[in-house]
Amino acid sequence: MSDHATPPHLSDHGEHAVDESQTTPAARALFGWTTKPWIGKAVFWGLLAVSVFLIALEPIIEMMTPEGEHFRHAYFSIDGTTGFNGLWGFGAFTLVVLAGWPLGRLLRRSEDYYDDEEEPAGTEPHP
Amino acid sequence: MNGLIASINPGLVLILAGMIAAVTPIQRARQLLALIAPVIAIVLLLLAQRETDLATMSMMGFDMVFYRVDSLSFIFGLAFLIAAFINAIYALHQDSPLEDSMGLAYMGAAVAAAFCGDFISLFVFWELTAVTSVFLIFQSGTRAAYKAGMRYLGLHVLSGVLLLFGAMQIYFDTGDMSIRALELGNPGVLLVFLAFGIKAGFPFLHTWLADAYPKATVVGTVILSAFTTKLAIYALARTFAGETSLVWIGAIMTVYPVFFAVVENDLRKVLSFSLNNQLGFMVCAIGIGTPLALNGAAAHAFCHIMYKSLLFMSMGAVLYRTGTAKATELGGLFRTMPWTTVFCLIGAASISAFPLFSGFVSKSLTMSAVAGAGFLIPWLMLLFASAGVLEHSGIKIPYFAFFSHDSGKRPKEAPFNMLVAMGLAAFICVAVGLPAFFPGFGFNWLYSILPFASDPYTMRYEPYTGDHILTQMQLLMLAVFAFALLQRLGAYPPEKRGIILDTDILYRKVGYGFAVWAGKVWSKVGPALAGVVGGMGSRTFSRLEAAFSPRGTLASGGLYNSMAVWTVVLLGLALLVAFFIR
Repeated sequence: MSDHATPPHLSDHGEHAVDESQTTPAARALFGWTTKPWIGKAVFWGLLAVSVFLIALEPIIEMMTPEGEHFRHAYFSIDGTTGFNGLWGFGAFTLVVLAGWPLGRLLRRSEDYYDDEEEPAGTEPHP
Repeated sequence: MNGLIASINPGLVLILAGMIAAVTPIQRARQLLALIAPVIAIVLLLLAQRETDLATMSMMGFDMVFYRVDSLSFIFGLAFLIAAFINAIYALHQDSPLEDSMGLAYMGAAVAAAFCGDFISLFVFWELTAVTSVFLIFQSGTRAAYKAGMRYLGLHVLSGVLLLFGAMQIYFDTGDMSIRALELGNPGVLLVFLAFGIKAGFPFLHTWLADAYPKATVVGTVILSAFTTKLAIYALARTFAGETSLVWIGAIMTVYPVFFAVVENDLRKVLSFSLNNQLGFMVCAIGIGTPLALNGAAAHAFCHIMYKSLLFMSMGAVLYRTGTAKATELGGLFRTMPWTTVFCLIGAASISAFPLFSGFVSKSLTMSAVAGAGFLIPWLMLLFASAGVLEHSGIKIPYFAFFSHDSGKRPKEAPFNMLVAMGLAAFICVAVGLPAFFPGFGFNWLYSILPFASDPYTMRYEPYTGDHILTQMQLLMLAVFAFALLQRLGAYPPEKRGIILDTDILYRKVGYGFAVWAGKVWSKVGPALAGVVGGMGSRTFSRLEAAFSPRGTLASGGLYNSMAVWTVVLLGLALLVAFFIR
């Protein structure tokens, strides 16, 4: 619960250089882009653009579908509104994540709360 | 085909292989057995005649059906056997006779149970899954795993006893022991419902899942994740299809684990909560009970077995290489484990139901069935949970293990056999999720082996419509955007060490505290009482103390003999009670 339980790398705000000497070539090729300094911003704005695009696409396609037909197949009235799924997803995700703050305070206990939880017995399983 | 061979339940092949493996000292021979047995079993299953009682027996007046294949049991059996094969590859790096043999017997018991036609034989294999699988938890060798294993065993033996009680009651009421559609109301049926509910992880009966699974061995958790709960889903689909209360139970099951998963630090425990959440989708679909919904449940079970195994395998590889699966200790592992990262991401995309991955084609069926039946609130809950799945399994798992803050850990890439197993599971996740470019390809194949493949709604069902793809992408992309936004604002709760309380506090703290208090009272009252009844009480107490106290024989850990005895005693007692109570 308290800060002493936070390992050093989690309080590190990027001021320490990351050791890339052991990064494999495959890793560099596949995921090297995730370590670029601009990646946070790029992903954020990219996702915003994609989100806006996906919401905007809906009325556009609806306009282009022939008269009398519907592009969206809604079961109830609420799910037929424009961007319903997107807004629901955004809201649900935000709620779940923000609920993590009070829930963590309420339910998190130290790892030895149940006396036996982390006590090793006999040999350690992982060499 | 030879009549005798045709009557062999494929599960028995695996159980037999497990028994041989137990006495085979050579590692490679044992592993060859583990690889061949599922293949033979799949061949047997493919050749089996459908809708016929292939093996029957009459005992004590009960008609038992040991082997019967129909389209519902077929897809579950097939998924189990594919998982058994993949698990065998995943375990190739280790030399553990107990784990190999118990794993095989456990998988065999689950397969055999899926093909049983009556409650008695179902009960036998139902209990066999419990007593064999618990060794996969014990094998971790930690005190925590031992205790969690005992709690797991307790609940699962209870589930079996309830099943037997319920089945007996049903038998005495109707004179029919066969597994068939049941209606809630009769107390016997209610007991069967509860028995299935324990294994399926119904709310408040779910604690064993997130308690025991993360404490099992690296391989053990992968094996456990595929069978027990899906067997319960199968049993529910068989007996309680269309039971409306299941719609609500399922919807609740999808929602609450999401909140536990967001604050949990142990990533294998996060996956266990996610497993519970996915079961909710299947339970909800079973509650709807239409052919489309049951197809949705079966398809989801099939896909879920694959992608959940994949996710557990990737976290298992991380645990194997780093010795921990805690989010606070991990981060930046993609640098040296790129292939594990790729496979984990495929599993994450599948469980989040991104188009082109298996979760999309299976979850669509369920969502459409729930919406089509007019259940607005459960449908909204499932949609909420879909965003929640994306949060904990789609983002949290890969992000905190492989990216996020660099932990400085530079483990080796997972062993080659683990990569092959993950690759196979990943292949299935993608292959099953692809659009049907030609008949029989992609999701078309999956839909063709569903229990009601000829249902007109399912025949016409096309997951890849513009409408579906767009709404699903809206849901997912805006949720991912919410993640980016919250990270940017610093509103994402930091990972912290610690455990999260669950309802099992009721018996682990409150109940345990009561037991300790009762023990203290007894230690005062006992001797006094003992003087009266000739010392019997205190002798009994000291014997109990010697066996069960934290310093006692059974708690000393690592003593597999005493555990086996303890297990058999528990089961035997349960059986005696069940048989002689009437």
